[in-house]
Amino acid sequence: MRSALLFVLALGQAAAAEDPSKEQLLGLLSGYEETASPDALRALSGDVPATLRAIVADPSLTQTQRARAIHALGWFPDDTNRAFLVTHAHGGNPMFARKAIYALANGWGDQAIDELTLALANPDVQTRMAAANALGHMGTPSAKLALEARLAYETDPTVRTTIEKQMGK
Amino acid sequence: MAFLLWSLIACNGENTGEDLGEYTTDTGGLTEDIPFSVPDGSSSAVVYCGPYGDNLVGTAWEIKDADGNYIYTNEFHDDYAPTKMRVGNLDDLLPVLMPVSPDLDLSAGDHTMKVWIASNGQPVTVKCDAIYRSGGEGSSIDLHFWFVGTDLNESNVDKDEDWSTVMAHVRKWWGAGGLEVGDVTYDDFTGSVDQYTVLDADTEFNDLLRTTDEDGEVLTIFLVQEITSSSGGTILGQSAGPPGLPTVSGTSKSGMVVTMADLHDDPVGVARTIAHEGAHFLGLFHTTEKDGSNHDPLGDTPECTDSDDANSNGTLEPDECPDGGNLMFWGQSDAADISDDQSWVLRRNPDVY
Repeated sequence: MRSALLFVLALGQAAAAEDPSKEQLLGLLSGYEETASPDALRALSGDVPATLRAIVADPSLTQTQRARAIHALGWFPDDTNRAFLVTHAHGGNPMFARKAIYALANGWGDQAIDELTLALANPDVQTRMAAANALGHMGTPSAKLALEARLAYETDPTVRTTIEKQMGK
Repeated sequence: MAFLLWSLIACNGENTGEDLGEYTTDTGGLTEDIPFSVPDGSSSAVVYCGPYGDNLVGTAWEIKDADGNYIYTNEFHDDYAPTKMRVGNLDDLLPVLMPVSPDLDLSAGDHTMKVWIASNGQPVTVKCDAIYRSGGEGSSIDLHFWFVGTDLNESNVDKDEDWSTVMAHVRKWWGAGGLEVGDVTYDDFTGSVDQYTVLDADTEFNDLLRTTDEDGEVLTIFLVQEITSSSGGTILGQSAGPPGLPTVSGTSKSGMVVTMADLHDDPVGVARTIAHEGAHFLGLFHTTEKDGSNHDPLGDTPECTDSDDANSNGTLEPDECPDGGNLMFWGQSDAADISDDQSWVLRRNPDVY
């Protein structure tokens, strides 16, 4: 009787620790006008970031599904996710790079200043604008300093306008 | 945009306009009564007031019909029970569409509306106008697409198979709801392309819509590479409103925007976003909001509630809900159904002829 009870308890623990499926997370990430909230993702049991990383790595999924998963990893700030996001922030997919930049800013704040400053010098105009927006959204003294420093070297007029707008916040 | 009385005759109806004048809010944020006269035979009306700036939010405080009955009010009244009217809390400019449900049809005669603007006691002056649709319901809508820094452009759109898939699905889903796609026009956006290619929905959306300059019965759709929130979240599409401001260009409520990043991965998904956001523009709300807190005012669309949240994560996913396959569910699924009541609303919009 006691061993049977322990077996049932063990089964329950295993079920509680089960990671959410990709389908479950994709449902959360499916909104037209908004994506999954941090609270909804954190309410799920299991290793949510592992499933998010699996979604990012799945080429059968759409660009926006994978991009939303990258962005959502910012709500789970640990070393594994940071390394994953840094790789994408400097990777070859501009949309994924932008999402990783925002995720680093949302999850790590000033601790990600080095990565965000580097992103301000990315060859892609839209990625530089994303980095400027992410720093402006942070709004910390360090973030404003990074923006001011980049403005001295930035030559693209649209990026300059974005930086100036974010510095003025 | 300024007119005293204008009319535009379309195939299946006529839009007329009424200049309602200027109104200034009091220290509580309210305007006085704004009178508007719905002509006999009108199938819909849009009363709109603004602009009051992107940093302020306004809404309709109360609307009364010709008999003095409340169509909508934010105040408690013994003789008022909530009706099937819905209005938005919108920045800069407030379009109010009537009707938004067949359970509360539009009556002719002298109506009044009060507008409330959250301005911290500062007076705000707005210009108000009305558009009346007569001649019964329409069946067709013209679309004007603008390419904003996308791979797809005016010169290659006709040869793009994925875009053909997009349009075939929009036609199929809207057609099933009694709304046919009429003339389709394409142009390359020639404004600040770099600024809007990746569009910040919170700070740039209104400015992009203000670039429109084509009045009349046409829905303007900007196709951008991506829409983001200020915190970097990806947005698949965004409509002005809901509802948007039909037939009038150059305002912050004069169109909609769609993310094109998935065009070659998932053209059916892009089509679903266009159909969903277009339906928002024309007056439909989400059948169920993400947390189940709100539903549309229609009688024939299923509602999803907290009790359907099978995984208890506070978000109602499409496969948990009876309306998960409806075009106007908050999230995408494999279906895009349109109910009879939804079709009824769509076909009365002044943009539909």
